[in-house]
Amino acid sequence: MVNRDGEDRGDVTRATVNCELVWREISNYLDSEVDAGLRVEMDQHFSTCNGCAAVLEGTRNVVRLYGDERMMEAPAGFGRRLEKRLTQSAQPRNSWFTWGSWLVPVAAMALIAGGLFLVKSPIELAQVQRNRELAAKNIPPDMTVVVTADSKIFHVAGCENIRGKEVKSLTAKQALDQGYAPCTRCLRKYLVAAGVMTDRPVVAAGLDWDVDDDDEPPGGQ
Amino acid sequence: MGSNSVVSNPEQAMTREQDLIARVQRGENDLFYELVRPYERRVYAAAFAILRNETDAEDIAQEAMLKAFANLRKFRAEAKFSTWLIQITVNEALMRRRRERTVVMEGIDDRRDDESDYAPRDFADWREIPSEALERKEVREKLAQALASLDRKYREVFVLRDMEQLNIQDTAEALGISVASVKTRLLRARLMLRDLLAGGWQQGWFSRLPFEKGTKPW
Repeated sequence: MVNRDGEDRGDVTRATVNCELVWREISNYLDSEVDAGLRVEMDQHFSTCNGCAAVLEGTRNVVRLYGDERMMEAPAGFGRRLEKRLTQSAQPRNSWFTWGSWLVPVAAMALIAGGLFLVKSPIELAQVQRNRELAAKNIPPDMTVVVTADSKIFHVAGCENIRGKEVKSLTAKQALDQGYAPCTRCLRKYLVAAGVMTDRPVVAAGLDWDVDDDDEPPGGQ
Repeated sequence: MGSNSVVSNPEQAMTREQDLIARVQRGENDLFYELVRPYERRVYAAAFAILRNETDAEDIAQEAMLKAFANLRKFRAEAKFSTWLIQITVNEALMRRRRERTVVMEGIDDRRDDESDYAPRDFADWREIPSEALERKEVREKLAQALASLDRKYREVFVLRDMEQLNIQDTAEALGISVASVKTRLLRARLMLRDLLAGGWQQGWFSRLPFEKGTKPW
């Protein structure tokens, strides 16, 4: 609790608070983080100072409006994509209990064969591998693409998804060989041609593409 | 994924949440999305507040959910599930940001809090703004713009405390700063937002629909 001197002490000396002290403590006042004595004095001040009363009401409005659930907005389709990813992740754990330990060598073989960095579910691995093979047939192997350090997705230079990031250039073949997957935004036409994605327009800053695509890196990040 | 039962009572919702946590911990993994669905927008908002990039925020929000899924067995009931989820998200987002060299310099400056007191600039008489105003996209956008205009250190504290509803201590722990810094930054964030929005209030854009041609929101 804060007293009128702005210190966290129990010994409160009574005196009339001024505007500067009110402004300094108004946030603590709203959070009930001032002691009872200071609160009474601030209440008295608000009743006589229109300026500070206006600051209090305005600040209270700010806290209330921003605290409303409606201020929490996510891109269109976010929940759908999240559900899909979580569902995919939930499957292998169920399958594990059902199918038994033979999945271990299968997953290990898939890891080696794909040159991947992390093990995902066998279903994901198979799907990603299929998508990569399909996409590879359509993307010119000597086409120059770029990659970033924090993702296993390759892009065409200038792609919005890598704006402001440091990139490294390589050919599409090298990228695919190294386990990178094509970006579903800038390389969309190749994915559509491969039948990996549907040809729906990209909206909401490129985030609302078809969820049947696979925008995940083959081996995670 | 799971059932679609709707729970409106907060106590029932809490009981339902505890039940879902226990069931997922026992292996009913397909219920996990149902467990986190009420918080998906909050998780995204926390990630976006730190990363300021829709693609990165969505990626981190998903990563955080997966991490929560992988670690749910370690979750203990004494903690609030939503707070635990937001803290994972903030941690993931901060780690992602540390890898982005472009914000390192900003981070150095962020360690220093402004020592001087912030004096309100506008003493316009605000009445209570009805929450119905938030039904209007224009109002939400103006609020979001005002928030985006704050310095990062103020914006992050404000989002975690006033939007994500973390308490002061949890906000401090999530961001790795002191409780005193949280309070200082929160005060400035609230007063700055109030000043930014006061002009719009005086011009009536909270109550005017649609905006009159030529008016400036602030």
